[in-house]
Amino acid sequence: MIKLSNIFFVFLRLGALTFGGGLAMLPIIKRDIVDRGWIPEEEFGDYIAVAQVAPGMIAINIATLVGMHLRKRIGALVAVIGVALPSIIVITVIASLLSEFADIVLVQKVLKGIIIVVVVLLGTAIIEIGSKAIRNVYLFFYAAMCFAAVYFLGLSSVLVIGLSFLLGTIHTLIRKRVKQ
Amino acid sequence: MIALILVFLYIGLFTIGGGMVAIPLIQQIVVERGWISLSDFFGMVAIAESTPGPIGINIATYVGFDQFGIPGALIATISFIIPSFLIVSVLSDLLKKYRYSPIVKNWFLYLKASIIGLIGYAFVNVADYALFQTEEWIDLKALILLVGLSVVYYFLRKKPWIVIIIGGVCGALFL
Repeated sequence: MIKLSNIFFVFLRLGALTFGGGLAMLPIIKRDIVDRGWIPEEEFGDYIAVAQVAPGMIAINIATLVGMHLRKRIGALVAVIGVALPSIIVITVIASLLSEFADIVLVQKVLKGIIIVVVVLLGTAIIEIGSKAIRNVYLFFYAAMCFAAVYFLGLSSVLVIGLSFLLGTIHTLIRKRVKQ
Repeated sequence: MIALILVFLYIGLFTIGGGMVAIPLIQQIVVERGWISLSDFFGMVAIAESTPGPIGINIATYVGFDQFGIPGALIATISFIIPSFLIVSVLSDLLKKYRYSPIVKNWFLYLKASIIGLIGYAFVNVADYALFQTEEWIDLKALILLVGLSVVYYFLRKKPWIVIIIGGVCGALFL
């Protein structure tokens, strides 16, 4: 049986050393967890799929799944605390320092530079996810419609997500009818 | 404080598809309620992207800290995690079993397209803030930096943190 402290420290390191969010973590998770023999290689694909299908952060979901697999609920709890703790500490420290330094012109300029990087990162995410997700012209219009609903009409993003579940359900039911 | 808990439970439940989706969700709720100004929120996103850890967790911690200090940081983050933790730990076998079923596939067909729309919303907001908040019709220096950083990012694929450092240094020197 794998020690809880082992689980904790592996996920702590994962949270502390990965930049760029959940997807950037995947190769490191693979190295740290699959190569350790904690989960079989062929199951890792399942974990990633489930982590993306379920609500929440991908990193948190993977931590929950791997923790569950190793030591049931307590393992999942330990893994999740491990992966989230570095964020909580680092952000709290930065936020408390920044509230004192926020008026300094240099700090504002650095932040402005990083915000431009955020524009680049979001733009790249749209192209990368979009090129896989938008398979036909209908889905393109649906994506554009979702954008317009939120941006121009000010509708809630949650409403748009709910609509997607509804459409997916209707789509499946119609397919079933057609087959019969 | 209770509003903070409820808002992050709600966001945690509807963040499907990872941290990028959390950005528009948090922005809409937190900025519309007047908890945080748009410019402060984008500052938080910039810091969340340039620090280690999942981006959604970083933003949740930051928003919580901004509202109620360290207790707020802890409570926002825990509330944000709870829905997915409960769903994944209770339903992991079910999720594994049904992830290839037609209905789940069709949900994600539409969900992924709508997520593009939502990330597009965050993108347009951030780009507008970075480029057009100036007396001229466009902030030319910021535009040049944006083009330069896009090229650098393209050639340094999958190394966002290097581009973040370059962006911060260029911001200090040129903006």
